[in-house]
Amino acid sequence: MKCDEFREKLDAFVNGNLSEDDKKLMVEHMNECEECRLLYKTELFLRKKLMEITPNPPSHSELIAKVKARREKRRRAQQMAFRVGMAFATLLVIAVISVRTVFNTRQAVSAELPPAIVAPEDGDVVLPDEANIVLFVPDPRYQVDLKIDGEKMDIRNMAQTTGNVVVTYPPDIEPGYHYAEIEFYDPHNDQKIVQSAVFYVVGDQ
Amino acid sequence: MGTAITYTTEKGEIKVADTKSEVVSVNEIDGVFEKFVEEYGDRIFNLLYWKVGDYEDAKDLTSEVLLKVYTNLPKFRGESSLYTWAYRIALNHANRFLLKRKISRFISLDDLKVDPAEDSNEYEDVERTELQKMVRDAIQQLPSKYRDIVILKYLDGHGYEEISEILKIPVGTVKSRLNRAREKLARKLKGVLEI
Repeated sequence: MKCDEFREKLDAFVNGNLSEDDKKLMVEHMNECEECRLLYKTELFLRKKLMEITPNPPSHSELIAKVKARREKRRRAQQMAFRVGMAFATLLVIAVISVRTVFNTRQAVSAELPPAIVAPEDGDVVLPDEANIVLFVPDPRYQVDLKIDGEKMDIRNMAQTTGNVVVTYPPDIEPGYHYAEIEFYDPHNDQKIVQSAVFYVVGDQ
Repeated sequence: MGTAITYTTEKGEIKVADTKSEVVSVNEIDGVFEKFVEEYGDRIFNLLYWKVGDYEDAKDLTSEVLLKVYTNLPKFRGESSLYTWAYRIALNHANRFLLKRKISRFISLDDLKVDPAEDSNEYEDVERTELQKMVRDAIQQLPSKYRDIVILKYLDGHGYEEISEILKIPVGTVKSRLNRAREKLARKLKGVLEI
């Protein structure tokens, strides 16, 4: 018998599943071959000793308790994650509501501020080429009419935007006193509002 | 030796049974689980102990594997035996653990100097003989593919066919790996065996 065949049949040999002839051949080979003899001893050793030298497993109650503890820990972690998620979501909702509220409040405040002549103020002295009339228009929906010395200025394009609207003086404005006047409809008070400012334009000299 | 376990899920009754079993009806999953631990807890621990070579690690891993079993019991559909299914979970879990341990030792050079067998643990106190340490080291040094077969055959007493089913490899491969494992162990345990 050769080593390969011995190794092939070793398991069956130890299990007692070989024919008498094969058993004889196996034993003969073991007596001749030190290496295969060692394999046989290894096989017997592993079968008999491995379980013997395995330490005692922990008790079942200990294992079950450990599993329960882990389950509990996992459940708590999931709960915590859920709570953190909920808290985060709540904060997000609050933040969104706050931003919207602030935004809306600002919008409301803006809407409550009526259009006005920002410059010139009453009594201002201005140069004809540097001064302009600045109007504050809080909302493009306000229909604001601007008159200089009673003459209506065309501010339709400018009034489409919110904020300050700059209107240049008529090029032929004479030195001397003038007045600007705005007129608009105030929806909050349901009335027409007129606001004016008198200013003095200095001559070229 | 096997005991059948029957439990009920939302989709109906699932019977989990080994062939040699008598039927035990347990409707509560906790009851099933406790039965499972009674039946297979030791074997799973033994597998993990020889796989990782450390008593405390094996204990932790056993509880982790059992938690996985508990969590996945309702999904078990009986395509293999419950034991084979659980054994695969345990093997995969242990392999992941060993990979992590290998990586952490690779990263931390200090750990390389530490022999895990020398770590103090509960079992260390009861580990009395050099023989135990020698065999443990010899098995630990085997490549994983040989170690798994050694554990399945010599610790759990599985035949080639069962090992082939658990590891999902052909029977021929089981035999050749077993021969290689035996040769490697023979070389390592020569001193002990020739006494």
